[in-house]
Amino acid sequence: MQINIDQTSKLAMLKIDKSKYEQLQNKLTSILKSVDEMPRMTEDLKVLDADNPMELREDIPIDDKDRLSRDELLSNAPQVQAGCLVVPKIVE
Amino acid sequence: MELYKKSAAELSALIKNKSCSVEEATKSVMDRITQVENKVDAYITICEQDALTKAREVDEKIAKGEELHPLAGIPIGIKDNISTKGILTSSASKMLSNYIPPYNATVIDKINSAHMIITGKTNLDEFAMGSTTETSYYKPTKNPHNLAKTPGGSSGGSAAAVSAGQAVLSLGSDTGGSIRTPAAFCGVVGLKPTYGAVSRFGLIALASSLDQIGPIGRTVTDVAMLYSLICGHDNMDATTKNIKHGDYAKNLSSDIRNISIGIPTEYFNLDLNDEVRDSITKAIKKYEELGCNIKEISLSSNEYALPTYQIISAAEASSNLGRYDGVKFGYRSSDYANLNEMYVNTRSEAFGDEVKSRILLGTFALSAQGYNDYYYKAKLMQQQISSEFTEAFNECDAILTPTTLTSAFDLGTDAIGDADSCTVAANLAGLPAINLPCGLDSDSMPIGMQIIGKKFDEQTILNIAFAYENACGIVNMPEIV
Repeated sequence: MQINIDQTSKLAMLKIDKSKYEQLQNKLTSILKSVDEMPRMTEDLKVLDADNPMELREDIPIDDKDRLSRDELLSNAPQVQAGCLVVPKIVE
Repeated sequence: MELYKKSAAELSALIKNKSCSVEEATKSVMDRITQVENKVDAYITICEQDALTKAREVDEKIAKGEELHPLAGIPIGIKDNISTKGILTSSASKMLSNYIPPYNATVIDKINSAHMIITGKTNLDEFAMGSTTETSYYKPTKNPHNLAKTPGGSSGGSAAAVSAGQAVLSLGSDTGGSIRTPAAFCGVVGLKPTYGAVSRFGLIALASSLDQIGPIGRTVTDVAMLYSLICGHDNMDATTKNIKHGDYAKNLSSDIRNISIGIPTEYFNLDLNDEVRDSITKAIKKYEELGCNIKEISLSSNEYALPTYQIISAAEASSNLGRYDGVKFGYRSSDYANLNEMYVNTRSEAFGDEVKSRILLGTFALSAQGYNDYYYKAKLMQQQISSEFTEAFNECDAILTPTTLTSAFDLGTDAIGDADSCTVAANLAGLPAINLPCGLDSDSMPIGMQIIGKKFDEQTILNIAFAYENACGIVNMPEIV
């Protein structure tokens, strides 16, 4: 199978330079070909590590002292105004 | 005294018996960085002032008679995809070239609480995608044994720094071989722990079902010491298992008589370089002399491990990297007219070619068109590979393979992917695996062997490595020319 670079790059929110299409196509097609040639082992996918599952923590807030402040959380944002993230207008 | 040449265990003893101060040890490593960094390019960020300040603080604690961790005062380099509060954590990407984490990864909290000295942040392939460090946004790292060759990747900066004496220990991360491959190419010891042994909270994710953080050092003891510090359950990473870990360094034993080592024939049918094959064969003979039982075993699906890994890791990466949209942190394009353009231009300008190609592959593998034939098929194969390991471990205690097909190759060689042929299976099966140097080739480049263990049985593979190291020694620190 071949990857449609136009369609897939749209799904991935990427713009790919047309000059790189052929090289990308070759590289990705060769990986897909290896998978095409692989046998399909079974149809049943078991839960990995079923006898030793993940332990989720209680869904309760962490202590105040360990909590990041709003300012800390926003400290890396490209654009902030009045404590909010700024993005381009989405309603015309 | 050239303190930068000492192992962590040696330095720890020197600091404890007051033969040297932490400041002297740190200064020695920092001077070494000044001396060779322009040739090796192991670091993205060097934290000289912070390191020296911290070193003096640790010396004060020692002077007051405080009982400190054995790794207190030991200089350590941190791969630049591990979050360090207040220190640039770029993951070697333009996307995060301005990102200063407001929190520490759990492993960094542990390193700080042990009073280790962070020397800086080490170079890697962009978002840990690669096997050479050449996909780094900043620069490629050079192999200290030969500056024209790759140090391997993606933790190439971490392995090169330790190899060159620019750090005594380092942390790397391993998704498909990213600790073991550079450790093999640079002649150092690198451990990829069992999936779930070390918290990844604060690790910039590549493929979350495969990523593990692990230690790199010049000796097995050093790696065992650092592993003992960083392992353990963490409430902030639900994949960490709540099991009891011992002190892996204290429990090291070179008595490996009657340990059974499996040799999977399939790995030796790969396109192995002759000198690598010879070195591994000699290592197997050495293990026989040390009293191990050597058994031929079969891991018949190994030939499919690489494409399986490529699909699963790309799928997870495409999902994990969806967060980079120019809104909450990181780079934002200045060229956009609307929200959609901002997303697309931000991602297209700030991701490198390798990252884009993996996002495309992963997006396709998870799309309606690709899911069943590629992603699901790869997950089924992963299950098969994992069950073959489980069967193999009914016959042996550990498995020995080459770490890489060749020794380090020249920078600029298009070898992304191939370098991982021997290492990806351990990630797919969630098993611990260690690289141990096992000789030099005719160009004096290091060759590495990989020892894979049962889940959470790091002690056995560390012991197997320790016994070999005691018998055969470690790789000498290279002259950097």
